Amino acid sequence: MADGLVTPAVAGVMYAASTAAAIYSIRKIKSEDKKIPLMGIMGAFVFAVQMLNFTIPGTGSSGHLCGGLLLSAILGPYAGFITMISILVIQCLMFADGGLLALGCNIWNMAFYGCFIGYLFIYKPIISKGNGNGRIILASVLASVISLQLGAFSVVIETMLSGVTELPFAVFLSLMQPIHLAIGIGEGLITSAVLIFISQTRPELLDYNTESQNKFSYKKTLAILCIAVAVLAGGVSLFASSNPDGLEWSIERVTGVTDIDRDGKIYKKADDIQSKLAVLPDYALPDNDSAIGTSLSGIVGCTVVMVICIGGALAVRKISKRKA
Amino acid sequence: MPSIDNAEILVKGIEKQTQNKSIVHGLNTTVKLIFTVVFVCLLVSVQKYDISKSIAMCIPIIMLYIVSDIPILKTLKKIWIVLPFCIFMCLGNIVFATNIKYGLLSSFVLLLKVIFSVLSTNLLIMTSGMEKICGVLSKMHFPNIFVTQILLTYRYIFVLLSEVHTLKDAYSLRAPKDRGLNIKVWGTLVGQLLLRSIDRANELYNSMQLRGFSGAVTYSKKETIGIIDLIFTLIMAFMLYILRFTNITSIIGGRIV
Repeated sequence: MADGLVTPAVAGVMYAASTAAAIYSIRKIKSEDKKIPLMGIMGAFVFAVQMLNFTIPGTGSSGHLCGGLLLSAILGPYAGFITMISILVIQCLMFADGGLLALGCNIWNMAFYGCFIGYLFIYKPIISKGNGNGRIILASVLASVISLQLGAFSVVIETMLSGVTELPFAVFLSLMQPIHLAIGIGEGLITSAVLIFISQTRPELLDYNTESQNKFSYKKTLAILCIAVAVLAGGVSLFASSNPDGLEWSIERVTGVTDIDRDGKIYKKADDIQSKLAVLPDYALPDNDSAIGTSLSGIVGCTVVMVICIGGALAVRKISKRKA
Repeated sequence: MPSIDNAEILVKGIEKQTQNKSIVHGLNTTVKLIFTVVFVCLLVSVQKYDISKSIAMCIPIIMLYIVSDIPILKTLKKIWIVLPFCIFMCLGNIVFATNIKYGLLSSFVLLLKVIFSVLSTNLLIMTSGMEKICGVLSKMHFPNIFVTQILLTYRYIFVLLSEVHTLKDAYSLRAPKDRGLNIKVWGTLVGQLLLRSIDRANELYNSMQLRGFSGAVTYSKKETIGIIDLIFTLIMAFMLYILRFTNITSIIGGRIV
């Protein structure tokens, strides 16, 4: 997700949720300073390997490695989560992939689901009953598919709550989920190939083979997840109630009214259903050209200001170059 | 993600760019980081049909690119990675808007928001560098483990990118017709690289221990806030306020039209 696709309110809520998960993870790994260089190198490894294309047999397409799952399998979910955050920070800063404001959303959508839901709730329980090749493939594909589906669903929710798209919720969802289902299967297969290799050559490197003192509590994690959901829901509802007429405000500025009457049986039926089910208020775009007209003077003004400012900037650059 | 060749060029290009000297490069990194966050928040909070304000908000970034002597058009080419999803959203806005003109308006505003927020972040990294940003995060009391982790990952990206590049070249020479890695070698090829990386991490940990590593990297060079930083903050605060919260562009344009 890029910065322009989320509003500061949605981004803030997602930052809060991701920060809570990060603080919890940091507390969990604080005493293990031996892991720090390994985390650094594993982060760089996932970063570099994600640029390799793996041919998915029978599809003619290619896929990439599922970073969160692989990192969690080797470093454990907490160190894996922190490593994924560092990868996302570097991707955001160096490759313009994402953005500073959308970072909280991206951490949640990619790192949280992959490391905690995918690894802790899906991969690990399957592997704990036996770690044959078949189980590793099944666990990796399932973990990868479910974390990607959750990530894609979160992207839809975050974008819809930000109000930047006219795409209906159902259409957006039906476009996002199937694509990520195919990607998830491919990523799961690639990750399982690497995990099978490691479990055959150096099984002691895998987190679930070394973990004995740090027993994972499902009840505790479930309780934390419930609190996170409650906090998230509270945060989102706060956002919704504090800005109930943000979109209507912009329409009112253009047309002078916030709601437009519509005729026809279908509209009436739809209105009835919406009034019963609607979470968001009525939304309609006006049918006149005034917005284009009012925008014209703004664009001309922008051009004038831009010419002045760019001229000033060029002058500053020239002067500073002369001084140097 | 970009291809491995592009990624190497990009990372090295950014490292080279941070060595340049300009007023923006010389500014305090904390000031630049705060400016970037404030700018992005103000830009993305512009109303979805407010085309004049969204264009106006781009002005400070264009100015800073010019002053820092970074080619903005060249940088635009690098940020293609964010565009596919953004274009998908824009198309959705055009197709599903009740009036196509409003769909076009909201799409244009959305495109500007995405491009210029990414450009502002890019400007921050190209004029500061990862070390300085990590130094600021450390000063802001971000957990040491997190800051050290970012720094180590960043440093090792150079090494591992070149290893993956070599691996990819070797594979391409042996299987020139393959577009990607064949399923038969997925595990062994990537697994071998992973094992080498883990061994390297152990060597790195031992050498860090010998140098007295205690869980955090320390930053010897401290940045201070000078007069230039204060002037920059005042100018940018004034500009952002005028461009975001007043209708100055519409007033100027209205007089001309």
